[in-house]
Amino acid sequence: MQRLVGLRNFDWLIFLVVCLFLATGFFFVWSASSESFALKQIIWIGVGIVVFSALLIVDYYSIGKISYILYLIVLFCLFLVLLFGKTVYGAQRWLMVGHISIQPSEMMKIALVLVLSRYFVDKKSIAGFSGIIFPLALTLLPMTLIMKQPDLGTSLILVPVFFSIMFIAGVKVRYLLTIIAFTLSTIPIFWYFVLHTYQKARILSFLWPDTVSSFGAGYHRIQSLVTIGSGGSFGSGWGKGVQNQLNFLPQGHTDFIFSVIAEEWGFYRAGALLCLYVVFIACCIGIALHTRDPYGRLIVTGFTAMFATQILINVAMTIGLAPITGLPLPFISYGGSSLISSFIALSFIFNVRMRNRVALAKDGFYE
Amino acid sequence: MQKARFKILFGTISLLFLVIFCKLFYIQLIQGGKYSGISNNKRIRTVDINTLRGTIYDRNGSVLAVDKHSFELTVMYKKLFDTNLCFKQNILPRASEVKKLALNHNLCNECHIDKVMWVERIAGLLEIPYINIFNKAAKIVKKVENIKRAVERRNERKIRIREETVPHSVVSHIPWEKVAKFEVGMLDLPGIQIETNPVRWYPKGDMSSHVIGYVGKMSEKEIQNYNFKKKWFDDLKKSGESESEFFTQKSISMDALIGKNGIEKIYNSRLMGIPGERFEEVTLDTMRVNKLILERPSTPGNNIFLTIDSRIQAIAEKALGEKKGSVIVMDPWNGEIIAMASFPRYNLNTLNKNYSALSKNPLKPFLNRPVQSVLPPGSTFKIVTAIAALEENKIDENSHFPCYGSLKVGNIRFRCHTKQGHGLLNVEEALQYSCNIFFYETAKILGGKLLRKWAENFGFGNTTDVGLSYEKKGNFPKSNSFSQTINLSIGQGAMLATPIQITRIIATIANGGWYTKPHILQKISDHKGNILVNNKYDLTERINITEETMNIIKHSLRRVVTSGTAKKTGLKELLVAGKTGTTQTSIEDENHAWFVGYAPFDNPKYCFVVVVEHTKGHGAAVAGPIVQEILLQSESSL
Repeated sequence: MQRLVGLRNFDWLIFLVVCLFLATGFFFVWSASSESFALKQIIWIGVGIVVFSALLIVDYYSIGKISYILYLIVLFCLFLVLLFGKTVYGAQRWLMVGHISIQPSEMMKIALVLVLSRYFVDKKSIAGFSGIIFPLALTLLPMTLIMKQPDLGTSLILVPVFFSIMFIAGVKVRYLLTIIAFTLSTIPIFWYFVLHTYQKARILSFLWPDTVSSFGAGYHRIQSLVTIGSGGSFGSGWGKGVQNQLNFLPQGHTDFIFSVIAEEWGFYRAGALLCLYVVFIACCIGIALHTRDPYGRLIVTGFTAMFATQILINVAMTIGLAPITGLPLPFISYGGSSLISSFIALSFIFNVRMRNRVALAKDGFYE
Repeated sequence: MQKARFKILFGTISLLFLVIFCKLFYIQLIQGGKYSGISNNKRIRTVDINTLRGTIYDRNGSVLAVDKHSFELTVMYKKLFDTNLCFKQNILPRASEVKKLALNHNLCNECHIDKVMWVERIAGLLEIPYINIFNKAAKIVKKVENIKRAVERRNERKIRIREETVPHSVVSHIPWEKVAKFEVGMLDLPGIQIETNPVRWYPKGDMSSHVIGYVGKMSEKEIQNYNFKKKWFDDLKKSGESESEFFTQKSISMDALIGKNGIEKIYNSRLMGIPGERFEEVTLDTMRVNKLILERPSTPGNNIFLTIDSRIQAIAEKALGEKKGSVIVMDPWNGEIIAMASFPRYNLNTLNKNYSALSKNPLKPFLNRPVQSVLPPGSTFKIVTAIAALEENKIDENSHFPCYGSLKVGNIRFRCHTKQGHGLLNVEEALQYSCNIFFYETAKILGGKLLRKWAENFGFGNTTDVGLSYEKKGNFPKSNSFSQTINLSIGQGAMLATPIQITRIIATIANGGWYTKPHILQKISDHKGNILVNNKYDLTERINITEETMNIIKHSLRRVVTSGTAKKTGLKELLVAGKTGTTQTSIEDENHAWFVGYAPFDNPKYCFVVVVEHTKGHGAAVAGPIVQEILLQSESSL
């Protein structure tokens, strides 16, 4: 087992990019809410960096070994949430442990990446369709539980994570298409039995914004568009966005922070932020591509897919390209749980990069 | 193979980013004008939809304060602004005549005569002097300009604020006959309309006016200091939950009524409700609404239930009559305040009209005396002194002290209220006859420190947090000298207490030694009737007093009424136990008359405190009859 951890392998570029995100996040949380929220955000960033550094010390292989146990623990927590969870905004997403509230659905994203990667590395070769049944079950079970909370956004993140890991693990495209086709055929069932009224309203308001008479769903979308639109090319300046400062835009500091950024910074800087995100994703994929360890490759892929999905859905939602699902923008939105889980994921990516191990043999990594 | 797959993966992600980038480009740079609401002649404006303020009920559900509808004439700000300009330029008063002249002489095409025509029309239709409308317009414009300036200063640039695009109320309380007339005549007056607006109505007039409080528009200072954003986030943090799932709203507009005093102030955020909003696209020139974009309905405020029983409150206010003072009736078992009367009062419905006269009144009608009037408690405090001495084992029930009418300590002679003295008496008799000398002697043994400890045990110097605004703390001074301690032992000197503090003490005696939490809020429910807050306090904490002491005190308080200082008041038959108090003031011949007590003495239902300030008579003679009347009336009408 290779114990050498080289700090020279620390990816300073990604680190710098993430720091830029965090700084942006801090200032816009401040602008969109108040100093107290911004200070809390700083505290969460501090906690996140501690978690990030602590996890760097641990070899990701040793975490990978207990990934099934982790998965089961988080799954159990998800059950607990449904039974005893704290209800906020009409959704039961929080588990209270003493005074700390945790959101197991955030942890599930990480656990799922670990466990899926572990499965595909152990399996070595996926010959038939039967090999996909187990990972499918691993994904669908937490998805159902999270959807029940209800938290449509987080449960949908698991889908691209699942597909991208399978794709990189070398599962035949034919199988993937089969699953997609099957999923699409179950949409009616979802519509009539699973989705809540407000979720339907959000989707309807996205598809046909003019027809929705109910206020809430359309309101959010239009306000977000107006906010972004009034930014123009250079924006109104930090802390000076009319839409934001007059509180026209709800949840400007969490899910809709990108609208605030777009309003106050304008198109060029908001666009630059998007480009930074592309750089971030590209670097992560670069790590996955260059690592010589299949397990590392798969987890980096999984986490990258997770980040990409979150960014894409969040931004798409604010500019009216996707229904409102309530996903935070990684490293920028206010919120402890999402920051911590982003940091954990980032830590794994760095971990893989720093322990760039040599694949000595095609199999037998655990011996 | 993997490399290719990575390429596909990254390609997909980049493609999606590209799509988003394009859409962002489209929204911000191409459609920017449309969305920012600035195009050549159209504008999206938001109009508040009024919500109903919550109702305040008493414990039996009879209404104390409610929102009623009234008609208001609203005019677009732009019109008001132009009118004000004309007003300033003296294009007044008969605009139509001026216009005729101007047309005849082909004088003025530039001035704004057209823009003031509406004033004349309205003044004619509503039969009010047009100068009122001009004044009102000037006032509104000034107010809005002030806000605008404040906002612009904060943001350091020119901003068009929302108040400039919405209608403002110019005439309010329009009777409905005139409304009907107006509706017919105003078809050709764009930007002017009649709106219904809620007005606060207090069905019981001046009853418990101090408790209910009143509402008013925000003053300019309050508006400038009002941090909309901060307020919202603070509320969100506190509640942890919000009514709706995914929108938050600025909760207040310039014309919103906020609570200024009493329950209306304390529970303002509960009562206010969330105003609705309407997004409309309007054409700037005519101010006509082209289309309604969105409408968010309003949410009425929460309803507040008080512990006040308006029947007993009315009795208490009647019994207090026109004497300056306060009456508190409380349930000693749970701390619910059943009546809280204060005189002088004010009528809540005519408050706006009488405000200046009331605020100049030397009797200070705005003072809520039960919680805001700080007075020396006088002999009623002897209960605390007695308990302190008994509990600290400085005296027992058989300790006797002689009273010769006065006591000399150092160079100062302290007097009892009878010249000839009470003779030899023990603690029960001392309380019964309210003998000062006995308590002087007791205080000598007890000392200032222990007395202070017990006074603090009973909550002197601390607010009771009854749930009313501006509650006073009172004061229990540190005793530095012997004579000061002696003064304090009979509730004189620098000691100050509010009637509600004394009520808390007597409640503790009445229920046999439990701390009570006086409160006036019973419950809060939302507009659908779901109970949100149930404000109940159980007796959980006991004061550290032995059973014997409690019995001695209870026994002596009963004896005060049967054969002591209050024997001639007729309270004996009403099963009252209590203590009188007469506090001297700095003015000769003016006392504060106290009576504190509870009834029935064996199983108390009510405890009460009556205090009449600055009166000639003594405790029993002035306050006693008030207690008698309250008890008689409330029992007889049951």
